Amino acid sequence: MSTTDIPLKPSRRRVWRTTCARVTLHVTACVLSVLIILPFIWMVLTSLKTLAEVDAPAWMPAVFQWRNYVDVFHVIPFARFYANSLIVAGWATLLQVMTSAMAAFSFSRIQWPGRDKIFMAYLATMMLPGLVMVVPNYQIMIELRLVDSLIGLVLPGAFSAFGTFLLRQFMLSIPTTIDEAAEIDGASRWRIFWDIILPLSRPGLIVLTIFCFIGTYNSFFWPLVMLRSTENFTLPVGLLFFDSQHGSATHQLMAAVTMSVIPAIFLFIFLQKHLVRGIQLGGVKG
Amino acid sequence: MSNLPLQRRRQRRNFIHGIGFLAPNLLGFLAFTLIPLLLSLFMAFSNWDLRLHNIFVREPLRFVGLDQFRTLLEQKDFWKFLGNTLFLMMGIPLTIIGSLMAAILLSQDFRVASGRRLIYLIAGVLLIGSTVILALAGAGATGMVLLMSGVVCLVLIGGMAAGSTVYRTLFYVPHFTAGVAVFLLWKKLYSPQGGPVNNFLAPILDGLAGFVRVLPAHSDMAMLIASRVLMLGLLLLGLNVARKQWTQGDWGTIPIVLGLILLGLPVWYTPRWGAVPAIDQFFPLAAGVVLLVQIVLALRVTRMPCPLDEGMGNALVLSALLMTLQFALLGLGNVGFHLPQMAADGLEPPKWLNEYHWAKPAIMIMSIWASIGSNNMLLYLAGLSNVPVELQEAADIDGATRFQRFWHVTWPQLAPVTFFIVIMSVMGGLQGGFEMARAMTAGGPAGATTTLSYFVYTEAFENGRMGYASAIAWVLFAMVFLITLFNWKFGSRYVND
Amino acid sequence: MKYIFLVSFVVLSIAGIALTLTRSDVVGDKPIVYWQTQPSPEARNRAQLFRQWLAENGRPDIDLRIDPTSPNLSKTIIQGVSGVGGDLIQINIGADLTYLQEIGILEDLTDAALEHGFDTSTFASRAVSETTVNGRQYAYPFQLYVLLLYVNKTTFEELGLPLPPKQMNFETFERLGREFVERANPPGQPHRRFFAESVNYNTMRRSLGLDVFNETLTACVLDDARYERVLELIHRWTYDLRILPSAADISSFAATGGTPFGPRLYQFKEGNIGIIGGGNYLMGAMRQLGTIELAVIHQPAEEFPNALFGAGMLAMYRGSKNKAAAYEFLRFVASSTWNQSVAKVGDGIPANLQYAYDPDFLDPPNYPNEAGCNIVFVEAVELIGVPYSYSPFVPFSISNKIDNDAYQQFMAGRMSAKDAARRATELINREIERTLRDRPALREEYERRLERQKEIDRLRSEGKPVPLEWIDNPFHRHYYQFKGWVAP
Repeated sequence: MSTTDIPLKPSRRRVWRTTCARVTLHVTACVLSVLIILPFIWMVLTSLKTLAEVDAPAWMPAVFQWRNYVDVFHVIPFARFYANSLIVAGWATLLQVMTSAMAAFSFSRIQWPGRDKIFMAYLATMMLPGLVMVVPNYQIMIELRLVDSLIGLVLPGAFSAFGTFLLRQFMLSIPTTIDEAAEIDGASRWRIFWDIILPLSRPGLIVLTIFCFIGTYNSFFWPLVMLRSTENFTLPVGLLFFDSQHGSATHQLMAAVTMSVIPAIFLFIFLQKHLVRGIQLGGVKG
Repeated sequence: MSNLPLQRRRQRRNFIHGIGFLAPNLLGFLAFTLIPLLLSLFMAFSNWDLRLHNIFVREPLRFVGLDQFRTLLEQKDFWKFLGNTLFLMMGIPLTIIGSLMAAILLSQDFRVASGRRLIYLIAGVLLIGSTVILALAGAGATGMVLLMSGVVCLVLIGGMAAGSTVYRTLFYVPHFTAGVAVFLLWKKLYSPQGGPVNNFLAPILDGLAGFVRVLPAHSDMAMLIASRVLMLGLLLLGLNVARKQWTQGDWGTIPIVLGLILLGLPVWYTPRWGAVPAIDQFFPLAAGVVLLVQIVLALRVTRMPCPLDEGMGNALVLSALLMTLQFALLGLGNVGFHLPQMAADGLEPPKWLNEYHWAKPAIMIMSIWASIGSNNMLLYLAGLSNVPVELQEAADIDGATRFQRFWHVTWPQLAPVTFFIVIMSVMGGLQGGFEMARAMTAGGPAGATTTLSYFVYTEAFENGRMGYASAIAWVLFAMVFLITLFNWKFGSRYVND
Repeated sequence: MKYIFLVSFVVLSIAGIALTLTRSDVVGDKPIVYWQTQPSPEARNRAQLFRQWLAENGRPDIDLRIDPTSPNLSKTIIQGVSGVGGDLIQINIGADLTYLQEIGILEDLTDAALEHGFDTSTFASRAVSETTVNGRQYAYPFQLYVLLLYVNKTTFEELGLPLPPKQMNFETFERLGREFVERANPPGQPHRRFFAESVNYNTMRRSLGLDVFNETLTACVLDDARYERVLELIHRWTYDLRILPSAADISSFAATGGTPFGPRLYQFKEGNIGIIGGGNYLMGAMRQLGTIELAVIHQPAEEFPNALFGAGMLAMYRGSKNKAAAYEFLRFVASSTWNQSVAKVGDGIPANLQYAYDPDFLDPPNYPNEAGCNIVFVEAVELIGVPYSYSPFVPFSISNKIDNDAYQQFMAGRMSAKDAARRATELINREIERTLRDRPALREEYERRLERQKEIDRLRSEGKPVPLEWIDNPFHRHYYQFKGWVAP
C-alpha cells in the first residue's frame, strides 16, 4: 500500500515493515470479519434458492429467486408482524425514553426530600432477574384484561429503572449553572427540562433509544407468553410460528429471517458510534 | 425570619415538581416492578395455580410455606436443568477470551496512508456493480467465487478507508441481531443433512476416517491416555501458577480455594464420564498426587503476607479457563477412544441439535459466535485505550516480549473490566438459554437443552403453576444475588484501583 | 430534539390507529368465529361449505376464520384461563376435555346437542365417554380416529415380500421386519430403509394387559416387567435389528423430502419406510402425494388386540365473545352436510357411524388404491379402540409427558428399561400426591377409590370376577370384559 503521503520521510526499510504489518493486520481482521458474517451470507444466498436447491452443497443458487421474498408475505401475514413489531418497539421506546428522561431529571436536578431513597430502590431493582417479574406480570395483565393485546406488550416496556439510571448519569454531567441561570430568567421547570436539559442530554437519549428499540424489537419471552392471535404476533413470535407451520420451506424462512434482521443491522450501522460510547459509559462507570 | 416560609414554599414546590416529574415513571415502577415483586414472593409461598385460580374457577388460595421450594429441590429435573444451565455457562471463559483477542486485534493501529480513498470508493462501486450484474444474471459456482472475493474486497477496502470501525461493526453484528431470527438461521445451519455445517464437515470426516483406519491398533487407548496426561498437565500448570502466586503473596487464600474447586470439577467428573472406567478411576488419584506435591512445595517456602481475597479475578479467570480446557480434553479423549470403532463404518458428522450429547455444545458454539463481538468487546476496547502509554513504553525499554508486556502491563490494567464482564456474563448465563432452546430445540432432545429459564416458562405458561414457577424464579434470584454480593465484596477493590 | 419527540409521537399515533383500524374484527361487519385448525385445503373447503350451508338454511352470515396456531393443550389452557381463548377449542383426546372442563373454561353443550340432533346417543358407542364429563356433553366430535398402521403394498411387492397380515404378534413383527430390512438394504451400503416408521408402545403395553394406571386410576403401575419387555423390544428393533429408524435416522429424513406434508409421508411413498402409523386422516395428505397402494393393519399386539382411539372434537370456550356465531358453526358440525363431507373427503371417521357405512366412504370411487382401508378403521372403532386413560388425580398432559419423557430417555440410551419404567411410575405417583396436596377436596374420592382398588386386587388374586362399575380405567373395562373377568 502506498506510503508516499507520510510527511516525515523515515527510512524506506522501516516504512516497508510498517506497511507489511498493517497489511497483515487488515487481512487478518478482514478474514475474521468475513468468517463471522459467513452465516449471514449463507442466509441471504439460501433465501434466494428454490426449495430443491436448499440442501445442495453449493451455496450459490442457479437463478436468484427474488420471489421468495414476495411469497413470504403470502404464506404468513408477515407485513402485519412487521408492523406490529415496529409499532410496539416504537411506542415502548418513545414512552420509555420520555418517562426515563423525566424521572432522571427529577433525580438529578431537583432537590426533594426522599429522592435518594427512592433512587436507591430503583437501583436495587436493576439487579432483579427479569424472570422473577414475568410470572406476576402476566397475572397483572390478566387482571387488566390486556393479555393478547399489543398494549400489554408496550406497557411493561415503557418504564425502566435502567433507562432512568443511564439518563441520570448523563444529566449529572451537565453543569447546574445552566438551569440556575434559566430559573433566574423566569423559565418554568418544564421549560428547563424540555428546552434545555433534554437537548443537552441528546447522546444519552440516543443510546437509550437504541437499547430500548432493539431490546423490544428482539424481545421474545414476553410476546410469546402474551400473544394468542396470529394478528397480534410480533416478528420473533411470527418467525417461530412460520418455522412451526412451514419449517421445511427453508428458502422462505431464510427470506423472512433476512427481512427481520435488516432493520436491526441498519439501525446499528447508522447509530453505532453513539452506541459504542453509551456502552462504555454505562458499563465501566456503572 | 421571613426567609423561612419562602424556603419552605420553595421546598414544597421542589417536592411537588420532583414527584410530578417522577410520577409517570413511578407509576409504572409500582405497577410493573414493585407490585409484581411482592406478588411473586406471595405466589412462591402459595399453591397459586392458574388452573385452579382463574376467572372461571376460584378455589381457595392456600399458604403452603416452603412446600414449593421443597418440591423443587427434591425434583431431579431441577438439578438436571441447573446442570444444563451451568454446562452452557462453560462457554463464558471462551467468549471472554475471544472478546479480548478481538478487542486487542481491533485496538491496533489500522491507519493506512490517506489520499487513495477515491480509488477505494470507485473500486467499491465497481464491486457493488458487479454484484448487481451477478444478481441479475445469476450464476453457478463461479458466481460463488466472485461473490466471496467481492465480499472480502469490499470489507478490505472498507477497512482501509474507515479503519477498524468497519471490522468492529462486522464483529458486532451477530450480537446486535441475536434473537429468534438468528437462532432459526443456526437451526438451519446445523441441519444434519444438507446443512452447511455438516456439508463442510463431511469430507473432512471422511478424510479423518481414512486416516484413523490406518492407525495402528491400541491407538484408541493411546489417545485416551494422552488426553488424560494432558489434563493432568493442565492441572499441574494451574496448580503451579497458583502455588507461585500464593507464595509470592499475589493471590490470597480465598481465590486459591475457589480456583481449586473449579479445577477439581473435571477431576471429579472424569471417573463418572470417562470412557474406560478402569483407567479413569485412577485419574483422581494421580491428580491427588500432583496436588500433594504442590502443597508440599508450597509449604516449604515462607509465604509473603497478603489479604485473603487478593487476586480474585485472575485466579477465577485462569481456573475457569483451565477447567473448560480440561473438560474439553475429557470429551476429546472419550471421542478419541471410540474413534477407531466409529471410523470402521465411516464417520458421520454429528446430528447437532437432534442428538443428546451434541445439542448443548451446538448451542454453546452459537452463543460464542454471537457474543465474541458483543458489548464485552467494546468494553475491552475502551479498557485497552485507557492503558497508559508510558507503562507500555517502560515495558518496551525493559526489553519485555509481547506476551510479557501483555501479561504484566495490559492484563492487570484490564482487571476491573474483566471482573465486570465475568459477573455480568455469569448473571446473564444463569438466566439465559430460554430463547435459543425455544427456537431451536424446544428444550430437547430429552431435556438436554432445558435451562432454568425454560423451566420457569414451562411450569408457568404451559402447566400454569404460577406458585411453583415463582419459587424457581426466586431460587434463581438467590443465586444471582449471591453473585452480586460477591461482586460488591470483591469487585469494589478493582474499581477503586 | 423536541420536534423529534413530537413527530415520532404523531407518527406512532397514526400508525397505531391504522393498525387498530385494519384489525379483522374492526373491518368486517359480520361476527367472526375462529376455528383453530391446520389451514389445509380441506379446512378451506369446509369453511366454504359452511358459508354455503348458512345461505341454504337461511342462517345469519358469519365470517369463519381459520386460526392456524397449532392447538397445543397447555397453550389453550393458559389462554383460556387468561380470558383470551379461541371461540371454538379443538380437542383431540377425551382426557383433555375432562381436564378443560374441570378448569371451568368449557361451555356445557348438552342441550344444544339435543337440539341439533348430535347428542351422545347418535355416536359410536366408544366415542361417548370421550365427549362427556359426568354425563354432560361438552364437545361435538367432528371426526373419530383410531391409530393403526398403513402398509405401502408396492414397497413389499417390489421387494418380493408378502404383505404383513392384519394382526401380528411381536415375534411375527420382528421376523417380517428382519426380512424386510435385509432385502431392502443391500450389504455395504448405509442402512436407509426401514420396515416401519414406529410402533406404539402404549398399544404394545396394553396388548400385554398393562396400562399407565391401575383400575381405579389412583396410581401409576408402569413399573412392571411387561413394560420393560416392550421397551427392550423396541430398543432391539431400533438399534440392533434396525427395523425401525432411530431418532437420528428420522432427523436425517427430516432434511430430505421437501414436501409440504413433512418428510415421513414422503419416505413412506418412496418406499424407504414400509409401514407408517396413523389414523385415516392421513389419507387426505397421502392423496396429495400421488397414488400409494395402501393396506391397513393393526399395531403389533400380543393377547389383547387394541388400538388407540379418540375423537377430534370441538368445544366452546366459556368466555367466548361470539357464542351465537359459534353455536352456528356447531350446528353445522352436527349437520348431515358436514358428516357427509367428512365421509366423502375421507379425512376422518364420522362420529355418527351411519355416515361411515356409506360405500363411497369405504371404497372411495376415485381412489381405488384405498379400497378396503377404511373398513379396517371403522371396525377398529367399533371393536378394538381404547382411548387414552387419564386419572382425575393428575392432569393427562403431565402424566403423558412423564410417560413419554421416560420412553425418550430410554430410547436415547440415557436409562435402562427398568429405570425408565421406575422413573415414570415414581414421577407420576409424585404428581398424584402433589395434586392431592394442592387440592385437598379430592382426597375423599381418592381414599374411596383406594379402598375399591384393594378390593379389586383381592378379588383378582383369588381369581374372582370384579363388578364392571368398580373399574374407572377405560382400558381395564375393555380388558376385563375381554378376559371374562367381569362379574355378571
